[in-house]
Amino acid sequence: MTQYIIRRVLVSIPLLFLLSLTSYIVIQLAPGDPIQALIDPEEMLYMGPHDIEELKKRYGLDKPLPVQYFIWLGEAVKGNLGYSIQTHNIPVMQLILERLPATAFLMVVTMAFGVSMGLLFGVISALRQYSRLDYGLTVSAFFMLSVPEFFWALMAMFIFAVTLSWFPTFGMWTPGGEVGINWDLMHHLVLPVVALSLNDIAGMMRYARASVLDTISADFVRTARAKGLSEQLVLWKHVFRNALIPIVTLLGLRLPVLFGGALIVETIFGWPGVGLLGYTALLQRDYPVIMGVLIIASIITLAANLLTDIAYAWVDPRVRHT
Amino acid sequence: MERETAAGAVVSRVDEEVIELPPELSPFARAFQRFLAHKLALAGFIILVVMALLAVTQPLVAPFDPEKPHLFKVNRAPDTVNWLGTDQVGRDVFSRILQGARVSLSVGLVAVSIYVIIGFIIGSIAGIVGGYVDDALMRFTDFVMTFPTFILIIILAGITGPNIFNIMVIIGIFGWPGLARLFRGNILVMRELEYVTASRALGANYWHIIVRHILPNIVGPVTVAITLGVAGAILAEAGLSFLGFGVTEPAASWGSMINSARGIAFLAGMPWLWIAPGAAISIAVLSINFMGDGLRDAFDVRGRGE
Repeated sequence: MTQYIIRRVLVSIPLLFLLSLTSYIVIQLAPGDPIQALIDPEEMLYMGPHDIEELKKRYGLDKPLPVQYFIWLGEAVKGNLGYSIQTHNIPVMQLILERLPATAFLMVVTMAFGVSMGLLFGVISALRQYSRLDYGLTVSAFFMLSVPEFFWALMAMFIFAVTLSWFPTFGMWTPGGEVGINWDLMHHLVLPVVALSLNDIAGMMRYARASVLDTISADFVRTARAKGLSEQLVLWKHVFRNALIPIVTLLGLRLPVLFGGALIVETIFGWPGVGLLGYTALLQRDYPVIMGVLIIASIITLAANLLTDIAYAWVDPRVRHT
Repeated sequence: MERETAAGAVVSRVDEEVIELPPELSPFARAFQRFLAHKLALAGFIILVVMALLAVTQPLVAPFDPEKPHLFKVNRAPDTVNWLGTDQVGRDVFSRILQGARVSLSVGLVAVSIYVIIGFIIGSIAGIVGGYVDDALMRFTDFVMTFPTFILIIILAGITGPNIFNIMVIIGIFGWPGLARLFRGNILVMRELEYVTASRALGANYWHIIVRHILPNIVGPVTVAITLGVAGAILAEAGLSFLGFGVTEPAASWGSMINSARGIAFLAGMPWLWIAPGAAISIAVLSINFMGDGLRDAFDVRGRGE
């Protein structure tokens, strides 16, 4: 088991390196010079080429690109991701850390809600295969997968927040109200989580249904029933255990998609998270922040995949020897 | 003992009892029959054909020019002249929806074509050459799959500018891992089959084997993957346009139409501005998904006992 963990961690390190390199290259594709972004345009008029050279040297921008990359990498490992251009030199790391809890909270609640509801409906669907309930649930799963997330979010906002006024339309807490983990937060959490989790629910439902159906017709379930075990024991101990545990890997794969969805939902509901930060940075061409958000998102995705792989190996001993 | 009835069925006489056997059909015909029986898939297919026709004939069919503002007709509710109303600068919403269909379908098809080709090349090389090359390519594929691609897509789109061709390429660059794995998996299986070995013994080169033996066998899963891929690409394009990084004004895209309607005033007061494009996206993707599901069932050789 430890061997497996060590192997997986070792594989992840070059992956991380590759991720940072890709992100750096992507940002370098950006048009425009960072110098132009940093200097007051009026001052630029009075500057000669010599001054601009001077500035470039100061920021290390005259060195060849690979060297620049390693300098950046060295700084990043120390936790220094640069300074935001638009918000007047607030360190990027600080901006991200401020916003990360909001996004993390949203994503964790979404995943918990989505996975549990999805599993529940999927299992019900499988156990009552071909019934009207099964048919209805399957068609709803299709709907949930086909309608784009931002449309769900807007519809939810329209129906529940604007027309019925059951839920607030933006933010994490009511402006002027008390901040902290309280009912106000939960109240604001409902619509974003529902909008974000629909995709997950549908995906989990289809997967759970297929998996349970496959397992129920397996030989060892037949044996269990033939042995005289109660149906409940057969279901819980044999069917569910084998059919649903692999869901763990599915969660890891959902994470990159969830980040994208979180970006959209945060933008619509004004949820002050990392997604919204990245979006506004993109609109304002604030490259250090964009880069920082990309790196952090990649690292979190990588870490989540690592954890799910390890969890899967822990739960299913057959995997440890691949 | 066997003779044909008028209906073309083969009838066999066993001990004076007539047993009617169903007429023999080729595998494709049987798959087609199963497809037809799947009503939702059929509905999806019809809707899709209608949509494609409307999109292609849009310049002729649309009642108004989708990009031309009519400043005296701003923000009108749907009526007999403008079937879906007008937007904030007086453009006809219905015509814009048709133009959006053009945008979405073309982005979907082109992006998927790009990544099918990339996936085919990478998957085939990995499957046929094997060894270290296979290992390296598969690691690379895993890497691309675990990357937060949506964020990267948004960033790339934001950097390279909002342009329909950029969108097609960007979506295409990130979709290939699934197809690469599909191609590679099938090639690995087919490689060991006896008739392929026989083919090679007769002197066939790799290209011949791929084209004549392997490709016809994976048409099924690849078709399904392409269908679902187009659905995904349409959603991706809509999302990008919604965020402002896809197709921009004055061209109409369903996503950007919804984006223009984002304020509470538009949301509550002028629902036709965003419900129409949203419904359009949903119907398109839903039809494609139904059709893809039907196709998957139809091609499934392990079928449910036909």
